[in-house]
Amino acid sequence: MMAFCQNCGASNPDTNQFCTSCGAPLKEQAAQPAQQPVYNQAPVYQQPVYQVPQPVAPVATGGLLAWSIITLLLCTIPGIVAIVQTANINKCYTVEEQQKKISSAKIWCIVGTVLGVLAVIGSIAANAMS
Amino acid sequence: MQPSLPRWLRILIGTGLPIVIAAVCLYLYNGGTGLRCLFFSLTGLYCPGCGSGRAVAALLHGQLRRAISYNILLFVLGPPAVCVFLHEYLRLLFPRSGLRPVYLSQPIQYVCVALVFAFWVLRNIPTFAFLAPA
Repeated sequence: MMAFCQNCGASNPDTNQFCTSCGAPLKEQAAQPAQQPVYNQAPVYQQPVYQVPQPVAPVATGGLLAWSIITLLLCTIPGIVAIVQTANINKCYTVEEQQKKISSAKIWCIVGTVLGVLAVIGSIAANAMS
Repeated sequence: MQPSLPRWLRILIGTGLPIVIAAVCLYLYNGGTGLRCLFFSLTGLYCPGCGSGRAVAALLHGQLRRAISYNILLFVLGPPAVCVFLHEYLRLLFPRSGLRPVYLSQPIQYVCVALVFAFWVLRNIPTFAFLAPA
């Protein structure tokens, strides 16, 4: 038995599910009865569900917090910024925001650590020369 | 899962950091002073880290009470911070060790931030002069 595709008119074996010529589904066409338009049906009113925005899944921030505290002891201002940002990492509502906070906290830790180490080396060098 | 660092970087961090820490401890043990705080130089106010150098120097000489008097925050936040840092440091150096990242709860993080700010403010108030470096 042959079935004709209603989309392109190509003939296909009855057992085919899709037209070999254009890819349109065949079985649906055959099985589809003429749909009666339904009148007088009141649309179902669906109450929109208000979803409270949830913070994204928490990430491990222990290491970053420890580093922020050490940075704080080495160099104040970058350390303060780093520790405040680290504490807010798991309070973000999107993953992008969370990733940005993590990167930012890491950068402040690096800046503070480098400045702090340079200051220590500078002090030692200045002491040695005097 | 974060990709592990390249091997040369792990070797650099693994050897470099202990050397730097040992060098600074040696310097402090030998009575090295002159670690100036930029914040103190600019504003005349103590930052949360002021006195930590002197505290470590006193600690290296076994004077615990004196060390605490220089910077008490170092002894409150310091030990847990060092433990967590050490755990993460080893996890960084040995990614296949099976060590899991450290999760700290939100309240703990807020307490840390609160302690830092409270210490920073209080040690600059004359009533709490015992929090300032001796």
